Amino acid sequence: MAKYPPPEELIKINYTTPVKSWMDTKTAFKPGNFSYPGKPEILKYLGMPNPRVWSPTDDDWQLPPDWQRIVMEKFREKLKKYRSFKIFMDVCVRCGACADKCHFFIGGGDPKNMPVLRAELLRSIYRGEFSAAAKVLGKLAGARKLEEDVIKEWFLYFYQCTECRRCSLFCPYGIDTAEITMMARELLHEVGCNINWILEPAANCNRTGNHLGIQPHAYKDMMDFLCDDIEEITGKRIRPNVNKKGCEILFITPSGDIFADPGIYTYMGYLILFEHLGLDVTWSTYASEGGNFGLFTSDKMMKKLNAKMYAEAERLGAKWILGGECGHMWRVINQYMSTMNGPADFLETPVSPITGTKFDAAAGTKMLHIAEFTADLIKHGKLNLDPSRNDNFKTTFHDSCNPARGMGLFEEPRYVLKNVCRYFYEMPENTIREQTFCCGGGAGLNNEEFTETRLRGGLPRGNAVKYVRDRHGVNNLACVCAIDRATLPPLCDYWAPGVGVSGLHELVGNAIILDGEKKRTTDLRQNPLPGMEDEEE
Amino acid sequence: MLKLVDHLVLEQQAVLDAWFDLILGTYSENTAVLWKKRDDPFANPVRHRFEAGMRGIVVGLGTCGQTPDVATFGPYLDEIVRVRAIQDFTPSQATAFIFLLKKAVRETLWDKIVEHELYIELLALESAIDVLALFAMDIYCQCREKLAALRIDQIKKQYDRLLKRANLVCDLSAEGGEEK
Ligand code: SF4
Ligand code: SF4
Repeated sequence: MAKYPPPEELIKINYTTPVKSWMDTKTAFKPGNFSYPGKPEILKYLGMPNPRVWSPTDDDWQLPPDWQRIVMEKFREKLKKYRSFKIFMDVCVRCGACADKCHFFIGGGDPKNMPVLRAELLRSIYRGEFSAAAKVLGKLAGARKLEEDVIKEWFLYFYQCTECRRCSLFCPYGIDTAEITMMARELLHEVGCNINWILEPAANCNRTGNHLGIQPHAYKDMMDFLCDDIEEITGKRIRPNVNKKGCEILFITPSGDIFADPGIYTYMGYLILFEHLGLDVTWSTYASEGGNFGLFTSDKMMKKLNAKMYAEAERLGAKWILGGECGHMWRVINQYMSTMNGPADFLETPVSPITGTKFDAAAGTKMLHIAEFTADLIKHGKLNLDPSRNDNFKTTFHDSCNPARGMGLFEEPRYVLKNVCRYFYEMPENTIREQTFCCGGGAGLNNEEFTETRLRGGLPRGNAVKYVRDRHGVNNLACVCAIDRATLPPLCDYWAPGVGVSGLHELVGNAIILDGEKKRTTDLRQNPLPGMEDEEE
Repeated sequence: MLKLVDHLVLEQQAVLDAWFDLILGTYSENTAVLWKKRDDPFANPVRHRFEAGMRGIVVGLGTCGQTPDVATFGPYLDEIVRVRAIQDFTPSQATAFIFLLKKAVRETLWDKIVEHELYIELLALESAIDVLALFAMDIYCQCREKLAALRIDQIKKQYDRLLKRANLVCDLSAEGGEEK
């Protein structure tokens, strides 16, 4: 080998990574790989411990003096309270089936983003502090002591998990790393290590009913604004009910859709659908948020924010709740609502007033997903649709983690989509339905400062989108989640340029023919409809 | 007589394997093992993109003549650079993979080079690879600029409608004023 001239470039810089055990690899915070910490005033408002100004890049994180005791006590308490947590700590056989199933690992290659190692960050402390054998054997048994660096590592990696649960699908023991992440985040809360993007929306929601802190009059104002746009496009003035008592249905959807592009078009789609049906439905400016960032904050906050929706339904005297296109709202509803705030006996099992269909699956929560509602309408031929209005879209469908893995909502959105669009193409089988890939921004990580890591985690999704773009000319990615509508556009822009993002009901809104509407020349985004490119206003 | 680039094309699989190993050496050992093992393009998009890009580059070098052009090589380099640009690498680490091709070529084709005295051709090939490194740097910068633009965009989109509603900004393009 020494026969040829040595490659200078390679001698000067060694590009290979040193072989080290994960425990000895130090955690490095760089702009783009972490989310900004919770602001002290927000922590104070929420009554959470250790409010202070700090940054993950600081050497000293200003943990409380007895932080070790605090964390260990909480750890012990959680182990006692949640049997599943203790089992998850005990049973992993490190088979590695989950190792390459996490989008952050698939896109980035950091071993600590393998779900098995992510959990090991916690498990090693569990062993080191709670198990007798490991106390003696130490590192040999995969055990270690709780030191400040461990807290830093937890903060980095448990805020690099979107709690999407893809990994648990592949675990033979059903270990749910998302649950482990939740536990770890709760331990971190105890010593004041958390992120603002979760806490501020939770605080706002607690105060004003939605994440952005929009007050009732401003919310109503925004609605009118969207109704103006609808009038311009369809010639029809819609006057939605707001906070109206005695309506049959209360409709709740994420607030992200009322002010953020492209969510507003989905919002307009709902308004058009309800108008078309003459539905006896009201919106609420208090329950103006479907999302529940309490899920990422604490049990108590989750319960409270969830209870608010039901309290509003009771106050308004609605019979049941119709829920919009949201991701984790449905996780909370399906996984936690009945044990937390149920049963909601003051409500009735949802029955579609248009078709008479009774939705027994929603009997427990009294809350129906709009995709199921609309699919049922289409099945009964109750919608007057012109799918050719969506002919500019060649669309595919992104299964959002929570509705897909959390509630098994696979067919209804596809059924709706195929009826309102004429060009629909699926992404590859191992990237959709149960196996869907996360947008990289769930569980409170859809903030701007985290974009780089989001894109890293977005590679598997982006790669599948690029595939259908190249193969079928797909130019639209439809989804049923407000966080997706915020995170998928940059993801597509980076990995599959030319593909836009829409909500499902935006496309429904385009296709619905309202009674007495004028001849439409544009879609809801005010882009010309197919064949109308030359029409002047 | 066969030229060096002919050998490169004939033995592309061996060169590609060597190059792929070297590139995976820039990741952690556990990661390299998993990425080498799984070849489903959707379960393991990094490998898939890398392989597509690498093959394009090697075949391209076999046919491009003296100077590589960005129109041919840009898309192949993009497959790799776009991924490494957001993987927590420094700029030099992100683009260094291209130099590893030199090493792969020397290791794989050295016997042929000695046997047929292809040293001058080797120099030419290595210069071509240097040019690719410059292209890679351009693409890297485009990716990072895109990243910055996406961040700004997200902030704008979040408040856009509210600002418009509050009449704090006006939309000139909608009024058809400035743009024509
Ligand atoms: S829950 Fe999702 S983000 Fe978290 S480790 Fe599993 S696959 Fe990764
Ligand atoms: S698949 Fe389950 S048992 Fe296997 S390593 Fe992952 S968490 Fe452990």
